[in-house]
Amino acid sequence: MIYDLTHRTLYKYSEPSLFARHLLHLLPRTRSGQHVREACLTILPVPDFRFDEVDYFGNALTTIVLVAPHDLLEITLRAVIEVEAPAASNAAAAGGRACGATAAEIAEFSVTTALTRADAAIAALAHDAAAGRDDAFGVGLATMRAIHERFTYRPGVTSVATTAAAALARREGVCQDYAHVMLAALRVLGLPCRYVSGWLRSGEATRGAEQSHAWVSLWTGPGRGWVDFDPTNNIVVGCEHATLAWGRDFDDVSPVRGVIRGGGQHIPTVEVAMQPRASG
Amino acid sequence: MTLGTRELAARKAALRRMAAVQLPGLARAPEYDPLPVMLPSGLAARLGRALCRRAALLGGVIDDLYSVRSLVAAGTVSAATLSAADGWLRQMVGDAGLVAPRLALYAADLAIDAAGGAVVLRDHVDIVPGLGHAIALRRFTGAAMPELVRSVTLVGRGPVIERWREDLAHWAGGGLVALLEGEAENAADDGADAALLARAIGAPRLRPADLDCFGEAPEFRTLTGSRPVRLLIRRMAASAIDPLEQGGNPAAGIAGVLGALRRQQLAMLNAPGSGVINEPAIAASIEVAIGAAHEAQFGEPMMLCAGAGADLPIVPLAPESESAAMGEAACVLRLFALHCGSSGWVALPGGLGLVQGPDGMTQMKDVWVVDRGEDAEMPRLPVRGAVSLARAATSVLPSRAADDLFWLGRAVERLEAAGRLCALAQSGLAEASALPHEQFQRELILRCLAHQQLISPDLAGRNVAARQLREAIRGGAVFAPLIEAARRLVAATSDRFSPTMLATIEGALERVLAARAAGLAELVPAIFGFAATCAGVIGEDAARDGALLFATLGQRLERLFGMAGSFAILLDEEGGRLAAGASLAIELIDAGMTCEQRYGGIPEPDTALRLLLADPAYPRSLLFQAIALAEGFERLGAAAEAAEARAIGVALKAAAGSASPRTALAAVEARAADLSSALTGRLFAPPASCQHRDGAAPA
Repeated sequence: MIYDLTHRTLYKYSEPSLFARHLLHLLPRTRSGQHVREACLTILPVPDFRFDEVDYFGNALTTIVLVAPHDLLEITLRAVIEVEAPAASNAAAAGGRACGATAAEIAEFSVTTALTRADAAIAALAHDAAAGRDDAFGVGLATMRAIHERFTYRPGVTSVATTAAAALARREGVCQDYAHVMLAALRVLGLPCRYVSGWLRSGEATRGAEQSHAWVSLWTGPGRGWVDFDPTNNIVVGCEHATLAWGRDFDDVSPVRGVIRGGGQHIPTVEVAMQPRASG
Repeated sequence: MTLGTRELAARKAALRRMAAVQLPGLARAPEYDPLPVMLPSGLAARLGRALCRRAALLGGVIDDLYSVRSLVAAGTVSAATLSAADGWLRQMVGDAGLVAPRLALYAADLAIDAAGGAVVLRDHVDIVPGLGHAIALRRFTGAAMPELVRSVTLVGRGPVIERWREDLAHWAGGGLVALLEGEAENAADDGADAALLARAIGAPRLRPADLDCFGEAPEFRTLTGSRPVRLLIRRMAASAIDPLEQGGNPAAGIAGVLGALRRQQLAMLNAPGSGVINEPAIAASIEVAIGAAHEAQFGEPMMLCAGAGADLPIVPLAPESESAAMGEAACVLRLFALHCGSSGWVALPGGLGLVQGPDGMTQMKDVWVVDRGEDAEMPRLPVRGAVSLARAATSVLPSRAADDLFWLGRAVERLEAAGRLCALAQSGLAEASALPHEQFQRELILRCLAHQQLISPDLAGRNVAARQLREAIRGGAVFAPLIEAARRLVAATSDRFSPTMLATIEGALERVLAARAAGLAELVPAIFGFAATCAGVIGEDAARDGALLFATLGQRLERLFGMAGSFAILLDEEGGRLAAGASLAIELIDAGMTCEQRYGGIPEPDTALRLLLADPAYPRSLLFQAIALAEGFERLGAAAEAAEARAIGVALKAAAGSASPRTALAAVEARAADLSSALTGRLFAPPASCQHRDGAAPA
């Protein structure tokens, strides 16, 4: 499936921002089963400095610096992304790195973080879901379902700083909260898993489209490799999702983070459209 | 040569006095002991060689962990342990390498037994403490114990330090080298170690607030513009060094500094993240690995291995006082190694002896290596000499320092003005009668006190009993925030005063602090004494266009601002009582003597106005302040501010000739406030940063 993607982030500042330095995770990464045909990040006002790097997790990382006062900042990604069905991609890459994971990677994604620290409730959820199952994929499915059943999708009640424990206590939140709870639960069980940020095909009867989306990738072992689960929609990720970046939790892949001087109040608005190409 | 215990105690005191003079502003002088630890040259050479080997091996481990990660792939270092380690800095992983080695400064705390065997009690691979003390203590000890120095020939440290400085300059590409200090890390010894190290290598001491990454590399904000910094000797924790990438308080770090390191626009000693190998679970496996590597590389077991519980040698300790006896204490030896570019690691001859004094405080001793002329293993370094050192940097005034001095001037003046106003209130309220003009004067005083935020506005707006007002100001509580502000700013600017000048100012401030409990009768004179002391010290330096010019500007600007505000109330023509207000204004600025001499008493209101507002030669007139400000701004090259100060002067002359000066004075007060804002915004520290990590919160 080939998608045309537009992701527009707009900051309007109540007072001019005098100086700004931002880190952007907004250029999609390539992975097994996903080919980024084109990707262009347009920033207005044009930054005085821009540096493009690859971060520790292999994501594209862009640093921009604006030294002139500005009262709005618009960051637009236009990309063409080709996504394959996971089964095909895993088969194609069998034996290769895509279906394997180094000890370092497995260790990295087994470590709990501030946002994914489990409490007793998360541990109980994890152990209930894993009971009687000895394969990671099955545990992943059961955990995803357990979270989906308990949670109510409700935007605006949590923030990017909400921890997994706090989200589960509320039993409501958005995709990031679903993902953090699932990560915390899987890590309680010793299963390596990563937070994935990306996009969901527009117009589907799913939650999280037309915005940034987040889900979980679970290391299921050398046979099946990394498998992505979308607990918000209770689905195993197919070719309806495009990956932007991954890390241990949201903090590793925050789309825009920055340090600014001035600016007063600012609320970002985000518009996303991920449309399949008719010819794709 | 024999020195008695009394003389040794005196030498110890002399040693600490010397250090205190060299380190003004410290709450407590470094705990030095004048008796050096003697290290036989043969043992010193063996230890130095082993230290350098250990440093090289540890540096190799750090490089491996942050680049190819072969030790993780081989299972030598557990991936799980590394990933869970607090000191593991993912942002510093990369194959491209850095400008300088990740580990370029190293120290080890050693326990040395009588047979010359040594055990490493602790590796210092992150921030390396004590290097400044180690370098300076040689000089201090030599001065305190000249008889000892004359009796031996010591292996000098000069060539090693000089060579290291050249390598620092080389890594900096001839750019600026500086120390980067954090608040918490400095607190342990009041910044003494950092101050001594900075002095030894001729580098400025910077805080995160002094630096900005406008572009690729950090820049040091000075009053003459920004200067790129190319090498930072890190004296702050790596965990919050870059608020952009690591989160946390933006003011506590430098946003973008990790990116600058990755892009090789900056060198940092040691690189952030180097401390990860100190994590106990990692250190144990690394110890095994470097032991094996040492054997493979050098064909012999490693001399310096990590261990614990070793017996420490006992060394003598000079008495703390003339009546005390000689002491002795177990000694840990801290030896230092410096990475000198192509020459590799070089051990600093000697080091620091660390012992616990009778009061439980750690005392530092110099470590002497006697040069017997036979040891070819002591450092003999080629001189690089290709890159000149950026020593001039030490004379550059950071924006932050200028900002602090400016506000010190304002704080001292504000404190003095508050003292004058309270003294006026106290005399005006004593036995206050019901006579109309006295009641009117009392109302004016109340309004001035409220305007200067010394009493609640509620008290100014009604017919307050004299007793109630006296209660409000008597205890001196109104001064508490002003005194605290002055105290904080004296501390912040302490390195800008000579030791004797600082001691003078601190002594005057101590008297203010001591008089707080005694009430206004003692507190106000103490405040006047403090203000006069500061003015004298500041005036002496400012006359030479030193950094204290900024304190003078603050002082003048505050006087213009504060007095304009009070005069706008006192010189209110409403009700035809200008004469009553003018006499209060004269009393407020202590111009009674001048009036007596010039006019034979309190002059008519129009004459008083000319004196108070527009006399260019009278140091307490508002015009005098405006002229002084204009001249100060001109010396700084701040043309716009100078023009505004002169324009304010013109307005003051006009106000003095008018029958209604109140409105003009209120405008002068506002213009002075704007002038302060303009100055701080243009020349000094930028406004506070805020951090966000929202971007596009996923849904």
